[in-house]
Amino acid sequence: MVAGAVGVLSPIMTVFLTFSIPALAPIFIRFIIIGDSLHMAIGFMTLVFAILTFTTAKHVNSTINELILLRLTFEDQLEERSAELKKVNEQLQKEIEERSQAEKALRESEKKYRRITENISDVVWVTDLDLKYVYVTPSIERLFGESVDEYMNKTLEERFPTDSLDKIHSIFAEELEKEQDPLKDKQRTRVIEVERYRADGSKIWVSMNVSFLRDESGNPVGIQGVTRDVTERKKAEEALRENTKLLQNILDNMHDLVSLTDMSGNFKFVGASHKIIGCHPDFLIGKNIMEFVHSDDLPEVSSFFEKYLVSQKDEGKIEYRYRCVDGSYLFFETIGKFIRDKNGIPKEILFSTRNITEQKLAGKEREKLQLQLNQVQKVESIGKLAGGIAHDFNNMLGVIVGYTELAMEKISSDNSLHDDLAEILTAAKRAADITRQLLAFARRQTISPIVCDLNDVVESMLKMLRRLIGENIDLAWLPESSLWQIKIDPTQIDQVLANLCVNARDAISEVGKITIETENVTLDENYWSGNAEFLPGDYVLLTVSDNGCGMNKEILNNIFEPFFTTKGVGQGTGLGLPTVYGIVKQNNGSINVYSEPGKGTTFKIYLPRYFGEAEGIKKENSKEIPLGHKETILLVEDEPSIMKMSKMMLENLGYQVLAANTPKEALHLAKENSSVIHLIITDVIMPEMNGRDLANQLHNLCPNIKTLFMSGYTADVIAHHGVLDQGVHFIQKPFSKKKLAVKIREVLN
Amino acid sequence: MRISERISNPNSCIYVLLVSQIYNRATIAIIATVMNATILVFILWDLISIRTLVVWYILSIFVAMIRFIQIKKFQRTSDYMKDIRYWAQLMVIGIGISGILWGSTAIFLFPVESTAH
Repeated sequence: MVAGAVGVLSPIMTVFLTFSIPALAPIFIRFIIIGDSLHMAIGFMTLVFAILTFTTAKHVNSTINELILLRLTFEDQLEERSAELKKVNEQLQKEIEERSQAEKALRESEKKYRRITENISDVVWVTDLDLKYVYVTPSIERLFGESVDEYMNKTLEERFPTDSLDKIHSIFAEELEKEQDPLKDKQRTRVIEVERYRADGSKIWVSMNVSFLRDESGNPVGIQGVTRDVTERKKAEEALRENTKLLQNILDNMHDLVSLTDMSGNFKFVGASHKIIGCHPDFLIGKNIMEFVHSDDLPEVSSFFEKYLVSQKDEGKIEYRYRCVDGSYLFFETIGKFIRDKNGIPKEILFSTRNITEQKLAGKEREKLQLQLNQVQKVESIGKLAGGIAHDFNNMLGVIVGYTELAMEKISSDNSLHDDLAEILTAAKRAADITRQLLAFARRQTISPIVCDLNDVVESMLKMLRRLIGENIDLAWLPESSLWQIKIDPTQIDQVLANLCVNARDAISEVGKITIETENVTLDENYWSGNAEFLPGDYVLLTVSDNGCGMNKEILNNIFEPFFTTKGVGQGTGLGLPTVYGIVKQNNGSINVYSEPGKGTTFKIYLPRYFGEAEGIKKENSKEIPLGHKETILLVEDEPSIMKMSKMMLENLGYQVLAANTPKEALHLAKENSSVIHLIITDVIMPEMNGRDLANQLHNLCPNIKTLFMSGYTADVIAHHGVLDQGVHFIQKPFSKKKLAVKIREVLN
Repeated sequence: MRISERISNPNSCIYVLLVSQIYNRATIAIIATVMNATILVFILWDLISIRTLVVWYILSIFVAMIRFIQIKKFQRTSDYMKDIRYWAQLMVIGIGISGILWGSTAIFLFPVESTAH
């Protein structure tokens, strides 16, 4: 059993001994105990057996253990190796898989790129450095109409026109030269646009994007490129250029100014028409539109822009003044329109600007002309009114004045009635003055201008003027030494000076000074540019100035309006300055007024120079009434009261009077008394026939007869625009006996 | 771990291997034990008291059966590695009892009169 146990239990010696010791020890002991030699021998043999068995078991145990260890070691190593191998295998598998995927991807990529290169409309090509093609994609056929083989066999001259070829060679040479530069960009590409031939010989434009093909050292070994047909683009570019040129021409030649600004108003584009502001359009680029807007218009323009931008209306219009480079201003009318991006958000503003300066000036001129027209119409209507009433009114005043004078002659000056009559006479004369002033303002006053020296006229008035203004006011007279001649009715100068001095007197509260001066002035076009009513030339300037209270602007604007007065009721008629204005205008002169409150007033009256000799002023200083010498006067007057009064006056003056109530009667009397009639005194406006026609007919009957017209209003029968025809004698109704006497003597003598 | 340690260390896999090796071979040993015990009883049938022989034989068979059950139990246990120490101790006890039974034959089954036996 123990021997058998060696094979079964020896792997673990403890187990073997656990079995073999209890199994053998009793046997060994039993044989020893028995004690005979046989048993002793068997006992020791059992011991030897036990030792051998233990030894064998130990050996088996060791062998088993060694084998196990060896196996385990081997298994460990195998396991390690297997693990390593597995790992390597896995890595290898992974690499194989990766490589497989990479190869697959490469194949896919190659396939894809091949498909792309074969299907793209562009041609991909490679040449060597001698410009010989080594590869061309099949798309060449679509682009140039020839196969790859045909294409490869062609020379450069067959492919490109000479100028294109020159350009290619030139660029190639340039690029090769760049290659000498150590700092060259090896990745650089060059785009060449040239014309080239198709297979059918037609030309197309191509764009070639080329770069050097390099070896591993970076040295060029060939050229690679992509050629694209850009014929349509070239045509489009050409069309665009044409359109741009056309647009530019339109912009350059259009009257309107076109510009484009960003949303802040900074110029981005400026049309050539902007040169009207005196600079090159490029000068404006980057500048803000507001820099050129007149400061007075800035608030309005800014407000417009703010409202426009906030409301984001597509269009808006505004008028403003725009500053030119030389500092002058032009009137612009601008229409702004938003340029929006694809999201509809405004990004720029397109301005179309029109120069409306002429329009504006024309408008102002029109306004001025309208004002002038209104003035003319006003003058005309007043003239019609004055003319309408002047005839009858002056006739009536003539009767009043005449009879009053006659009545005054019949009574003593001590008589209380004499003063009453004097008052009537004064009132009648004032009434006549009003009529006369109205006619003067309406430029219908009948005048008889003469060539004279203004200094003489003024000097003859000084005494009267001093009386008029009173002692508290100093009247200074500053005449020009060699004053030019003017042609004017001196009585009108009297009227002008009287009116101006009375106004000056009224403007001076207590003590003051009135200065009258004359001077020669030559005014050129520059001076007149701002005064449309003025004409350039030589003028005699009559200046009447005072240091009175002056006038404000509002009063100044109305001083020439008829019946406008700042004086109290009964103190002024409102016809003084309008009369002055009318007189100046009637004599083709001009008048300027300068006045400021508290600084006095200056009237400057420009009367046109007359190139001729002075005629001298006829003065009637004599207080004596010149009497007649029994001369016969044919008196023609349709108004019976005037007729009666005039007849009495003439008879009192010592004339024989033939009175006719109508022109017909006058002709009849003239035929009967043609030899004795010395003078005809005739009314101008009469029924049947006017005074001039009557005079003409009477002259036919009596060639040597003299004529004196009398009228309250001549209505241009014997005058043109109030100016009496040459050689015509006239006496304005109402007239005094003395005035009539003087006038008759003047005519007869 | 050194090899000797790996062998004696109950926690090492080698030890587990050796124990399981013994368990796997023990069935043959039990069969041999039963056969040898039967042969021994048959040889000594006329020389030794029947009663002693039967008791020893029954004990031997009983111990063999216990060990056989133990072996089967071991073989059916899949997780024996966790309790290898326990199984090794059971094996030592079984083997030890078996050795004692066989050693007891020198006391109880020793026919002094027959040198041949």
